[in-house]
Amino acid sequence: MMSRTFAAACFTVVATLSTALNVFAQTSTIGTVVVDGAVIWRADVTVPAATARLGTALEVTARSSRYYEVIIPASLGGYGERGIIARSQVRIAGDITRIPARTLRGDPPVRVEAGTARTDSTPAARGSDVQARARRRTPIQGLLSINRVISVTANDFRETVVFDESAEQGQTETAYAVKSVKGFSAGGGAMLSPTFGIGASVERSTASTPAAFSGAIPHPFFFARPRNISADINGLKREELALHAELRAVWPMHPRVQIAVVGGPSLFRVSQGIVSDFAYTQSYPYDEAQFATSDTLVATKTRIGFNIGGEAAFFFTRQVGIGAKVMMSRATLDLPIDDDREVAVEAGGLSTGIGLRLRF
Amino acid sequence: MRKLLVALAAALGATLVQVASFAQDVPQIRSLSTTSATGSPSLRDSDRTVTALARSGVLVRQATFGDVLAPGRHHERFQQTVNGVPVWASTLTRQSDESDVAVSIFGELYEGLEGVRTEPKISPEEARRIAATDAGVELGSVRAPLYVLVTERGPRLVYVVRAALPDLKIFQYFIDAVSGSIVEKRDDVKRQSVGTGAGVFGGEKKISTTLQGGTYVAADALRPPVLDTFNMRGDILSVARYLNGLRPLFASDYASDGDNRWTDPAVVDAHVHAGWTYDYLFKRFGRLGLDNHNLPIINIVHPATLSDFFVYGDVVVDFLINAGYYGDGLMIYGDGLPFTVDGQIYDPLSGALDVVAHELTHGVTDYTSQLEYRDEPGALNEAFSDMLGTSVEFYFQQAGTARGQADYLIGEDVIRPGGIRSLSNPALFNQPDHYSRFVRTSFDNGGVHINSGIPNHAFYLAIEGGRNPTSGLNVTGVGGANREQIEKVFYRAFTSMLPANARFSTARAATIQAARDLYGAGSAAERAVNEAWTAVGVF
Repeated sequence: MMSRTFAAACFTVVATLSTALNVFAQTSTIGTVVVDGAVIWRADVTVPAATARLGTALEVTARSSRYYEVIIPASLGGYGERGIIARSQVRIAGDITRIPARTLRGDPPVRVEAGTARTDSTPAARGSDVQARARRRTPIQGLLSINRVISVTANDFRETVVFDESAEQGQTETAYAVKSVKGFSAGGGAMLSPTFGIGASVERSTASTPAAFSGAIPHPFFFARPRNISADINGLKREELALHAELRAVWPMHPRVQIAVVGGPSLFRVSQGIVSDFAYTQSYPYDEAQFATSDTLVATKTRIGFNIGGEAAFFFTRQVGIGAKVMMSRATLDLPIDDDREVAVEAGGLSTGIGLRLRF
Repeated sequence: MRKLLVALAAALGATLVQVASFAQDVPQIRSLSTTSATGSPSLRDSDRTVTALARSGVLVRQATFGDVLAPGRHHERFQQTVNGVPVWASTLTRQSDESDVAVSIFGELYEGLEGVRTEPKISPEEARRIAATDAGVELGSVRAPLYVLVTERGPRLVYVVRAALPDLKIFQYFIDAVSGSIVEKRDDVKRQSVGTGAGVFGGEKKISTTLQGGTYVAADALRPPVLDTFNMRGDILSVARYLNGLRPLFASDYASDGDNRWTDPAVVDAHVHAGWTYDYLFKRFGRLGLDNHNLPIINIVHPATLSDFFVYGDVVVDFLINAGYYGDGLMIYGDGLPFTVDGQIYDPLSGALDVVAHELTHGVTDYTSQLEYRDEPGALNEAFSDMLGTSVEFYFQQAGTARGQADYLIGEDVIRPGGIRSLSNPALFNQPDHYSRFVRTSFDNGGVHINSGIPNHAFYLAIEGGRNPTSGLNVTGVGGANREQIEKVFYRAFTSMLPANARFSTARAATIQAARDLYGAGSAAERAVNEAWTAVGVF
């Protein structure tokens, strides 16, 4: 149910953004690329957005003294965003004055053929160059993500307790089934460079952890004649809260597709329902015993572990997309049950998640 | 009353099995023993006689109880009385089915007792004083019930008083309630055997104890009955005073241990083995202890020391190498001897599971058939204790010949080598294995520990099968894997069907009937029991 709701929300966001972009592109004129390999620059930074082949038709939405603002066509990987292209590389079919004149972002560098020197050395061009270099030095991007997470690792564990009774040692074993943990994660980060960034995410998951309890109770009259008892104990729960600190390496495979590898330390906090005590009934001649009741408590422990994983994101717009991730995180915790009793459990494991991605 | 009995006997065609040729004023014995297998007309006649005698008050129903081993069946135990005074060792049992139709009757009654005077001329206190004077002890408020005792000289109205001598011998005094004379004085300790003992041979056991005031005492709080073990620390006088009702057992008399890791083997084994015997009775037969109502079981260990020999003589040695059932759930275990006697080592008696079970079975008999402890009933009494003693061993121990293993020897774990009796080969210990070798003696209450070899061997043959050396007859037993069948057959017969004065022939008829009731006519169990008794010459 949660997954369906989450997907619907993503779809709604993407559709709304697409509609807004279409409205924004209401006045336009068609131009034709006259230079093979002409560069269309991103409208916000001095980064090439696409290259257009000779004859490519472009929808021109604005003009300045040196550039046309165009919509990067889908055939070039565009998704409705705008770019700018030198006016010399586009021929306008029709009345150029119908194109709204606008002051576009600073002059992009003129395409320079290999082995040729920069020819545009006007003061204005030099000013644009400085701005572009400044932007390249600070390519910080933020990223937010929300995921529905499912752990596919079974963190089953068992506790064996040895106790003295009737001048002999008895034993109980409780096997806890932690098959699949479901939850949500939310995180954010910042790119310190076009490739590397840092981030953090919080992941919370819960699961029912039914336990199979069995015990060998010493006979009060005879050695080595234990009475066996067993019971299924339900109602036990596990809650895992993990704070993952991440170093992030990003590879923009495509303007819409981004792949990242993340990893770092994790802080786990596990709260686990544990069978802390039990009672049994017996009656003369004590050859059999029956499980009666159990006492439970919630044992909690915090410990540092690690996480490593990868994720892929597809952006419908520059800011909004969806992503999927696979993460391996791990920590071993000794949950305290009483002063001299603790049980080791594993937290984390291999998990997968899918959800919304926002970048800025 | 005599007329009534004679008339009934004549009208019913008389099921007389044995008529004693007593003196002219000695009552005759009429046997009413009969089973469904020996002829329904006889059974119906005996049943009518029992019913008539019960209505007339000659027979008083002592108990009615359902049969745990044969659901639907129930048993009645009747006591013969004269004007309300019970006749010593004269009881009768009747088994009936769901429809109250009699299935079997076992018992012999005295005729001609209606003229016996039943008004005592002396008080119970006087009777106690007479017994105490004879025994040379002081007696407290011990019981002194009134009985009619049939002797060779005729019936006598008597008080029965038990008195413990300083050397812990127990005598049962029959004090004439009219004249105050001592009619009879019987040794009343039902002990393992005269001159025997046992010892403890290690082996860690769990012992059920109770923490009292920071000390663990040998009081079993886990089993249904009171099961306590007391350590008298060799104080033979205190034991005698307790037996004579002059002192109780104090809390300080409890066997105790500071850390519950008991180091006194005699205490451990007495306490543990008594518990195991209770367990066996419950698990095998559904019986709740000695009286089936969780009668307290009291063990006394270290009742005397060898130094008492210098005061009381040889009898102390005899006491040290014996265990005894003193009635009312009381067991006393001797400590054995530090030297050998006749080449045998004597360890503390409580160390032998079969010895403990044997003695406690005397308690079961006391509360069921009350087999008189002399002559044939006495030998049956002893044999039944040997049978259950052996059965308890096989229930809790692996079969084998080593110490702590189950076998058909009695006391072999503590009287080494060999033990004191053998069910498989009674002749090993000079016991008869055939009725033709029955020993008639005044010793040992009519040879109760001697002639027990005959029923003992029948029990063995019914389980294991084999050949009786005297008769040469072979028996096909049910096999050790089916020993439970024979155990139940003998238990049922001995606890529910035998009268107090049962003879070997009565035991044969009762066990065959029990086998038929439990496992069907023609069953392997019935055949084995039948063949076994035949092989030992009991018909």
